[in-house]
Amino acid sequence: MASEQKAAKIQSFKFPYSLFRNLIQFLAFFALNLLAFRFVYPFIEINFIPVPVPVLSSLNSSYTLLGGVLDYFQVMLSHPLFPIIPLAIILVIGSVFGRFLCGWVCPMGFIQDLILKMKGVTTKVSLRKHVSLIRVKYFVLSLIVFFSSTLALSLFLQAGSGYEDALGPFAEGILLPIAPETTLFNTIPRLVQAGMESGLLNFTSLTSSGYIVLLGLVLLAIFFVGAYMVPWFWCRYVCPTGALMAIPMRFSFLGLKRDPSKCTKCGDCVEICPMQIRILDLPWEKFNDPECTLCLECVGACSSGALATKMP
Amino acid sequence: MRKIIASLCLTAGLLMLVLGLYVDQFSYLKMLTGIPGTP
Repeated sequence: MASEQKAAKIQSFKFPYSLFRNLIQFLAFFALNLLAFRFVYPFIEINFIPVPVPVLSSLNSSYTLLGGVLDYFQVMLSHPLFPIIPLAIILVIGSVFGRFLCGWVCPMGFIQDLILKMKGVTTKVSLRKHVSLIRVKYFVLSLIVFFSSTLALSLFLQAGSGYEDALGPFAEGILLPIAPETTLFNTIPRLVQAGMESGLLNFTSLTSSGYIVLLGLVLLAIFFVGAYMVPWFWCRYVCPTGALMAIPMRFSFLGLKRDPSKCTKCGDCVEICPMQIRILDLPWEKFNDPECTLCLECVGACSSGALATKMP
Repeated sequence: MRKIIASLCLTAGLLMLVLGLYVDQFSYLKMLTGIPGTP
């Protein structure tokens, strides 16, 4: 009798995926901005680690422990240098884990997740609008690749100084100075620390830092308002790093599977998915939707235990 | 088919990582934090 009760208890136990993921995200948030502790405790000796990670971690910020892969990609091309290591990281992590780091490590993803948890409702966007808006992030990524690669090519051929001047503060990366992670982890802390002396509030010409700061603040406002209105708005529709990692996600080793003998097609998984993926329409053997961040919210929500990870 | 593509990508990525180590690109990456000129 006792063993039966024990077995029933084990069977009814559901691993708290959501809570566990939030804990990992919380730790990753501090780990990626670990150098901020140097300002509080100067005796701590931690240095920047030059390894790109496929998440939104600003290379501009002096708090960053590990820089974002797309930031490295843009800055290296603007020097011009072929980004061997960033591309290698994208291929290695992308082919094995897909967009796993988007859902588990990205600090901006964590902020959006907190907003979603505070709101408590996973708002749905109409399918037609959702499908159209997904294309925006690929457009943003292609803009970045276009400007960075053409600048690199022209600089390499020693004919790009005019082009570089024309791009002005955006030469090192078209999104780099105004990205929400740059504004949040670099611009705002600098403004708070030094105010007018930071030199960021200069409005003498259109390319002055003041206007770039304003543009960055507008993008950050869009990030927060968007995250409140639509779950994981930035990851879904704007994030170029997400678009970049969505390419290897289509065939990555890590994916999800749905056991059709257990699945009751209740739709709880579709309801909770923050990326609005139609899980029940995907092949059950293994599915690697490019929008899936492997957050495992669907696995946690499935009462019949039909969903699980699959590797490879 | 997906496994073949993933394996090819993984192999290519690992080879590029070795190449990056060979040309010592990590020491260059170290210099790229806190880029001046950006807000």
